Amino acid sequence: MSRFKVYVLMLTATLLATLGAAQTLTMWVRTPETVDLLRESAERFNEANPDITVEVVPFAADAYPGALQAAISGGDLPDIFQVTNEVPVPRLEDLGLIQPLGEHFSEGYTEQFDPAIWWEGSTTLGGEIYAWPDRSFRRASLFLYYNKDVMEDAGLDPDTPPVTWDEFIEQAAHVSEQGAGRLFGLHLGFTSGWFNERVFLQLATTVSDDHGVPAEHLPGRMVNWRDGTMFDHDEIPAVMQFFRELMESDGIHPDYLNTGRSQAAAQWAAGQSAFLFDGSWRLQEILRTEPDLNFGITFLPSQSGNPPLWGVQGGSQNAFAVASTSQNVEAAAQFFEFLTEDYYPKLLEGSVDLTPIPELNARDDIEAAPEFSDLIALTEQATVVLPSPVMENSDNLETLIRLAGKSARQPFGESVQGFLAEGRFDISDYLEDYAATQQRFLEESIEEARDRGAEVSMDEWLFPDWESSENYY
Amino acid sequence: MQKTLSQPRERRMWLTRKRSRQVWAYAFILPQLLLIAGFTFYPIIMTHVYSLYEWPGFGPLNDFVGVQNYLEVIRDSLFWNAFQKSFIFMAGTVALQLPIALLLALLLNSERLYGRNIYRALFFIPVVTTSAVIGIVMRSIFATHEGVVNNALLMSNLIETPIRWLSQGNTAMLALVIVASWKWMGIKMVMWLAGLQSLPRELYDAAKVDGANYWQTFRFITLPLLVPVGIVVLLFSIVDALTAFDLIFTMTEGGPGFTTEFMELYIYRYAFTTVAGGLPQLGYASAAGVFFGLTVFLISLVLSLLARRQSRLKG
Repeated sequence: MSRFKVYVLMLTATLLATLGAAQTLTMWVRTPETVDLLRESAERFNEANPDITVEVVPFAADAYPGALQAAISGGDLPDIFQVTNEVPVPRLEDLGLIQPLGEHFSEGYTEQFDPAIWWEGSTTLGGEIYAWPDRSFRRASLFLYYNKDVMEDAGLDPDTPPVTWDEFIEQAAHVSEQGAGRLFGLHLGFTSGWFNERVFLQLATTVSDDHGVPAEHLPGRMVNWRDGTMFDHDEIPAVMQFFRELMESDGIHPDYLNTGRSQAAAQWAAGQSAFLFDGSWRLQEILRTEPDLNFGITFLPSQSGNPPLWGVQGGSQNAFAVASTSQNVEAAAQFFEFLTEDYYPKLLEGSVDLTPIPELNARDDIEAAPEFSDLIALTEQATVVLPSPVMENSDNLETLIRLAGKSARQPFGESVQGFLAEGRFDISDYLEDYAATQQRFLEESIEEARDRGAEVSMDEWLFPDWESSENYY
Repeated sequence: MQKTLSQPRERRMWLTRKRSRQVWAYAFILPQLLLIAGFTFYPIIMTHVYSLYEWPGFGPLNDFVGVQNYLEVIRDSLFWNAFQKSFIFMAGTVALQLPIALLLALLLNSERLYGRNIYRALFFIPVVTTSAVIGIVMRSIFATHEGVVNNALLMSNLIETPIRWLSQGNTAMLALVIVASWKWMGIKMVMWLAGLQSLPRELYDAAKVDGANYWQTFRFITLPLLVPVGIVVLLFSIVDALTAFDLIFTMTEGGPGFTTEFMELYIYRYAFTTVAGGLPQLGYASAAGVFFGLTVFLISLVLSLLARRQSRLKG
């Protein structure tokens, strides 16, 4: 055979190999609590499907918006990526950046899900599925973790954690006093604006019966749906007072204002404090890294004794979408179906979160940590399904897109950190300004939505029959 | 007959050679030119363009707002807060770095100092250490509870209760100034050292003959001759301080509140993070960047002119 023919054959073989090569899908994940589970599932999927390779790329939550922004502007979105509140599904679709998924799923696949998971403006648009939910929408936010050993050493009953603010301040101060500068009552990482905001707003829901409720899909807001107030701040001075008393009684770790959340959790687990305010997402990390830690989980302390509330809507705040530039949408849908079988049970086993499939959540054969069962029970009481203007009029999607793009120049979470650092506890002027700004944002968003042809009105943001502690739907 | 370039053939060859040299010169310059155009001029131009749009950093660039972003920047109290904090930080680091680095350079320039190369290397280590690592370690060192600094001060009976270094605005700023000055001290010391070693030996010999003591030599020979180097060191110190980001980001994240939010962090917050849940505002951040960039440019320009003037005077 001549050398030329050998070259031609080699070239042809290379070309054929290239054409038949595995499809490679890149998947961006921004939720640290699910990264490992997704990566392990992807490995099993890759083994079972040699013609498809899924590569999971993890991101720090704070770095993700910047990465997504760069990818969008560079036209370089990965095949699969997690959506964020700031660039929600309607906006992504509006920019032509994502593609519909429904037609690529097997027949009947979507019927096993909780129907509310397919929520207009979150996972669906015009009835078409655009995003795959990574967990249940019924997701809690912040809880009180208590270290039973530290409580016991300080002479407190480890089985009766504090419920009210007064009890909490008393117990926290007691632990600090007993600790004599070595350990403290409460620790929390108070350096991230969004986290600070959640702490304050959730605590504020325990002050009275008539208040707004914070929600993941409306960051920076505390909507009182009964009267349409976007930032109901009446209860926030009481929370400020709660922190003041904690600080003045030395019940709180002296470095909380400059400690990150992970570090605070690690210091709490190491016995530096009795109590920790942190997210439900911290549980699986504690169970994994501190298997022998003797701890419990309960509601954040409450002024009234009622549980602090966290608002949810249907759909999924951390759903995965497929980029419109991806040629691998079939493979992506196949992967999502695989995750349903492989990853969802691991969510429960790993004590991470509930799945969007009620039957799966109810299965007895999936063993989860007892603390996770406690968390689920608490979540049931602490989360409320909020009203949705989009459910009343789908044109309000346009309003929501506009609203998501607006933010106050002096964000609430960072500002509160500054006020506490300064020892400035009367922040009524700031709260008035901030609330007025949020109200103006809604009015502007409605106006802008109208300019784009949407038939919307302010009245659609009023729900006079709304009760803050009850599910609206 | 004498050959001259006026002869047509010779002249043609000379022109060809000249053109060929020029072509090669441009060919060698071209890659660098392309790199400068792509990575320096293009971003600068686009920053100015973005500053005229309301733009989150993705999607079409179609919301032209003119100078609206600039007006908003000027009206934002947190912009002026960041502007002011940047200059306070700059003044602090410059005031601390310049004299101490000069003192170190004078010490390490002494031929009588044994092992001076080792000391030079030791002082230079922080310069090459990653800022992020320093920031994270310093967070622990300056911690209120069990921080090394507080423990040292308590053990020396200099304080009775721990200082909340990073939990209060003023002390957080002081901690940043100290750490940043220490971090960048080494490079300033090397610059001073290079200046000292370039001073003409004969002036010192003449001064010695005239009976000048060490202080007089330093006051009337070393210092005046070091002024041009000093201006360059000053320029670098100012620019380093005004563009500080990584150390600040890892050590205080601009907090508590906005007390250590310098301009670079302010711009970053608007350009790449979702401020209070809203979209990033790259257009607004670009306007802040242009505004601040112009300030830094003007300061650099004045100092460069001063340095040139001093060089001329020295010449």
